[in-house]
Amino acid sequence: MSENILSIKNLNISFETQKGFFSAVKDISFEVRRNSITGIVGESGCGKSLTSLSVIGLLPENAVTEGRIKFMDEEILPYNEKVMRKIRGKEISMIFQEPMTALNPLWKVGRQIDENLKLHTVSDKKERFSRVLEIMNDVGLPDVVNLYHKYPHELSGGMRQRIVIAVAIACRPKLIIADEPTTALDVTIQAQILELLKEIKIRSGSSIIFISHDLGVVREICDEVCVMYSGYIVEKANTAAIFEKQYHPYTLGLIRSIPTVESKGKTLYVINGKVPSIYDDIPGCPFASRCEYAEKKCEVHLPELREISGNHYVRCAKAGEITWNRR
Amino acid sequence: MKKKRISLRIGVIIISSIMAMMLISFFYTPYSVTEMNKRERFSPPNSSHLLGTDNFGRDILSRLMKGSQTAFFVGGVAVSIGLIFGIAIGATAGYFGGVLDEFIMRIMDSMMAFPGILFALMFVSIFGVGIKNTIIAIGIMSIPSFARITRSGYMQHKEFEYVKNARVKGISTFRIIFAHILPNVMSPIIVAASMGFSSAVLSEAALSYLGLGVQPPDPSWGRMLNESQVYISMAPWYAIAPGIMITLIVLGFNFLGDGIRDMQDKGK
Repeated sequence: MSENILSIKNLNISFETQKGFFSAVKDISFEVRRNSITGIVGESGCGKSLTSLSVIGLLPENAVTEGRIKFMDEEILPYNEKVMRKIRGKEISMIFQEPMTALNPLWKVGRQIDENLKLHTVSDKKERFSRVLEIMNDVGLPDVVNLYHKYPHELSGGMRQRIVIAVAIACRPKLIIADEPTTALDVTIQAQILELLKEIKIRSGSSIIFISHDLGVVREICDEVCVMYSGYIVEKANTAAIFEKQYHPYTLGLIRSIPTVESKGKTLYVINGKVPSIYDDIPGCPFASRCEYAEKKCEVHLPELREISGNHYVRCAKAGEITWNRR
Repeated sequence: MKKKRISLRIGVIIISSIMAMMLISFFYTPYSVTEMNKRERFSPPNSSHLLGTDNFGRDILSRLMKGSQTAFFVGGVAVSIGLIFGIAIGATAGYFGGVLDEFIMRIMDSMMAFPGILFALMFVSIFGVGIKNTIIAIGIMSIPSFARITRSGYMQHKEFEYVKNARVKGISTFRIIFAHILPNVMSPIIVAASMGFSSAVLSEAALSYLGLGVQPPDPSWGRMLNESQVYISMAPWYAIAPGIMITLIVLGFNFLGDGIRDMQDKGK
C-alpha cells in the first residue's frame, strides 16, 4: 500500500457542447496522503468542484475525462459504474455546501444516515439504529434519539450540516470530499464544523479533500494546499510553506486581499480584471492578463508546473525571479 | 384564514356525501335497481319513490345510488392507470432529460392533441363496448397530463443537492427516482389526480350517454341521462336527477383539487 490514498495524474476534463469543445480542468496532478487534509483553493469556476466530482465519478454526462485517477492503488478511470457505485458512499463520500438543500426534506434525518449503512455495510436493523445514534453522537449532536425522528426543516443550519457530515462518515470512508462545507454557515458554526472535520480526520484516519475559496479557513485546517486558477493548478505545497512564501502572483494576490488588523481603514487589495471565460483560448499563462508582473513571454508560452523548492510547485515563468512586495 | 379554505370544505363535503351514498348502496337501496314495475312507470317524485321512477318503473334513487359505484369505480381505476403510467413516463423523461425526454414528450404532446372523446370512441369501437374498455380508454387519455406534471417536478428536483447527495451515497437511479424524488414532487400530482377524477367521471358519463360505456341493465349516470332524454318532456325528473349527480361529483372533485392546492401553497 502506498502512502497516497488518491493520486491524480495529468487529469483533463473537457466538455463537448454544441458550441464546441471546451477544456475546464487542465493537466492537474496531485496526491492526497493517508490521514491528511488537502485543500483546493480557487475562485468560482476554476474547476475545483469538477476535479472533486471526477474523483467520485459523477461528472455531467457530456464531460470527457483524460488522465489517471488512482484511488487506493486502483485505477478508476475510465469509470465503471458498478465499481463506482460501491465506492461511492462507502469509500469516498462527499459533504455539500448547502446543508439546507443537501438533505431530502421529506425523510427523517435518522433514516438518511441509516440508508447509507443499509446500502453498504450493516444489514441488521437494530444494529443500524444504534450505529446511527453513535454516529450522530460522534458529530456532536445532542439528544440523538429524539433527533433521529426529526425532519430537516426542524433543525438549524449548523445541526443540518452535522447531519450531512454524519451521512458522509457513516460508512467510515477512506476519503471525504468536502465541497465548501462551511460557506453557508455563520462564523461561529463554521469554526465548530472545522473542528469537527479535524477531529474526524484524527479519529477515523480518513483523508479529506477540502474545497474552499477562503484561504483563512484553509490555513486553519489543511495539511497541503493546491491553488487552482482557470482550470490549472498554479501552486501546490504544504500549508506552512505556501503561507510562508508564495511564488505565484495569483496566490500572492489572494493572500494580500485577506483583510487583517493592520489593513484596517485602508483600501483592500484586489486582483484586477476577471477570470478568463472557459470559451477563451489562451495560449500562454491564463493569469497573464491580470498579473502585475506579466511580460510578453507570459502571454505566449504556458509555463510548466515546476518544483521551485522542496515539494513546492508553481506554474509561473517568473517564479523566483522576482521577490514579491510584501506588506 | 379559515375563509380561504372554503373550496376544500365544499369539496370534502360533496365528495364525502357521494361516497357515503356509494357505501350505503353496497348494503342497501330502497328498491332493487333492476326491479321493474309496469304500473308505476314515470311516477313523479312521491313518498314511496323519492325521486320518482323511470320508463320501466324502476326507482331512480336506487339507480342513482348504484350509479355512484360505477362513477367511483371508473374514476378510481382510470386515474390509477393514468397515475401509474404518467408518473413512470414523466419521471423517466424528466430525470434523464435529453433526447429521451424529447422523444417521450413529443409522443405525449401528440396524445394530448388528439381529442379524448374521439380516442375513446375509436378504442371502444375497436376493442368492444363495455365498462372495462371504457376505463382503459379514459385511463390512457389521462396519461399525458400526469406525465407532464411529473416531468416538470423531476426536472426541477433532479438539480437539487439532496439528489446529488443521494447519488454520492451510491444509491441506484431507480431508488433515487422513486424513493427520494417522488415524494417531493407528489403534491401537484395529487391535485391533478383530483381534477383527473372529475374529468374521468365526466368522460364515462359522456361515453355511456353515447351508449358505449356501461351497458344496461347496470346503472350509470350517463346511461340514465341517455335513456331519459326521450321522455324529457313527460318525465323531466328522470333527466334532472343524474344530471345533478354528474354536476355535483365533477364540481366536488374540482373544489377538492383547488382546496388541496390552496393548502399546499399556504404550506410554502
